[in-house]
Amino acid sequence: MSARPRTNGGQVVAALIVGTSVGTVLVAGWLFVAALFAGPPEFAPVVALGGFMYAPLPWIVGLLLVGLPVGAILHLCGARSRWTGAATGAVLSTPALSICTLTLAPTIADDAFRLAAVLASHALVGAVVGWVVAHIAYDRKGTSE
Amino acid sequence: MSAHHDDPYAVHSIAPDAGGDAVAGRVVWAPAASLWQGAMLAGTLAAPFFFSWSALAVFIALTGATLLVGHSVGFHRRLIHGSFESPRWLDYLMMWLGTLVGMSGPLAMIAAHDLRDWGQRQAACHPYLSNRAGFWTDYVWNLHGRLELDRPPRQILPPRVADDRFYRFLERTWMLQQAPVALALFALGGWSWLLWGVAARVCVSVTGHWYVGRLAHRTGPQSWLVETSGVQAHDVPWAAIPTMGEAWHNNHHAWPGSARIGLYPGQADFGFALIRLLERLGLAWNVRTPETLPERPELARA
Repeated sequence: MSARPRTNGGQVVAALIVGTSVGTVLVAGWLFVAALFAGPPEFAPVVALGGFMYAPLPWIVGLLLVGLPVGAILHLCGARSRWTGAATGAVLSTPALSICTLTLAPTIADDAFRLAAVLASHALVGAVVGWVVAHIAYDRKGTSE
Repeated sequence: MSAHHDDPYAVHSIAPDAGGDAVAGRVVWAPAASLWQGAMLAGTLAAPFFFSWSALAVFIALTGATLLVGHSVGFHRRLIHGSFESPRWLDYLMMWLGTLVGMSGPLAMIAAHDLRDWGQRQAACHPYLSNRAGFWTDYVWNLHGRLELDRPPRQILPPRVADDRFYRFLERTWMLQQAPVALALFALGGWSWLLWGVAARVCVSVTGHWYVGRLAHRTGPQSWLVETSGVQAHDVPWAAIPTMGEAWHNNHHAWPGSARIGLYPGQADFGFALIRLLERLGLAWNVRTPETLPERPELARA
């Protein structure tokens, strides 16, 4: 029988830092693509740069205030797989990212297909961040995962 | 046709001389509904962690059944608009299924629907009634609040409905009506079936109802204009199937007393298909359609 994945304080801190970084890069990339579709393409790098500058703060705050407590509960429940991390990231990030997006660009909500695409892309961003965080937070040597 | 549904174009619980001002008022928090919808949202966020294909099938089947039989055909076309008649036992079954959608009981459903319907027919109305507020404001208002008009119109629910003991029972216990379903689902499929079959179903149905309603009063194709109404309706074609035909909302504003809402070729209307089936089985009669309704002077082509 293989052991459960283990973690320690250092790995958790590393996971938070890397999660913030990955989230920031993905948000900046998302903004770049969105700006290409929504406005003059020459503004896309500027919009992405803005995202790169401002996204780290909400990501680290979100990971600390929401991700960490939820992760602790999942840890105690034995749910430590990367896929659990991905699902958690998708579920927790989608509402937060959607609130930001629809506050900045409310007309998206009037087109169901654009809204669905936005929600799906947010879920994907959150899932990637959650997967990475769970990957870094746990030492899986000697486990089946 | 029952007495209170004689005029197929009327707002049945609010008479034309009912007075009232549709503009001045404020939206206040509705604690019970808000906590209920919050709990359903929390359950929905947990549901992906309990995913199974059987739970997804339960979700789809129960959502479809409650929206089709309960909400679209039962609450909306039968109870609110009286667009057909049916035996009492079938009425009760449809209203129970409509209550299971998780939005409210039948009496509150009539009151909320008719207040919105009345408001949209005025020259101007509160943005709560017209869905003109911003996205999140509109969401919070409609799922967690209620409108308190400074001078509401006199609203009188038809005694046939308001005095019915079964409807009153459903009204008092509309949240508790999920309990037997929840217990059965938990017994058959554990947490997975419970979360998908109750929480996710209610959350998706109620949120979807609000979102499609919002779109239907803001954007989309139009065939008709009701010239005396301040708010015009739009069709939401992509939502025709999940709403069982209700998304042809422009048609509905033009012909509110019609059992048929998808009027033109290609306009799927599962709700009307069910009513036609019931009619063939002898379980529905006096089915109203635009062909059988009187002319409406205020109606114009868009």
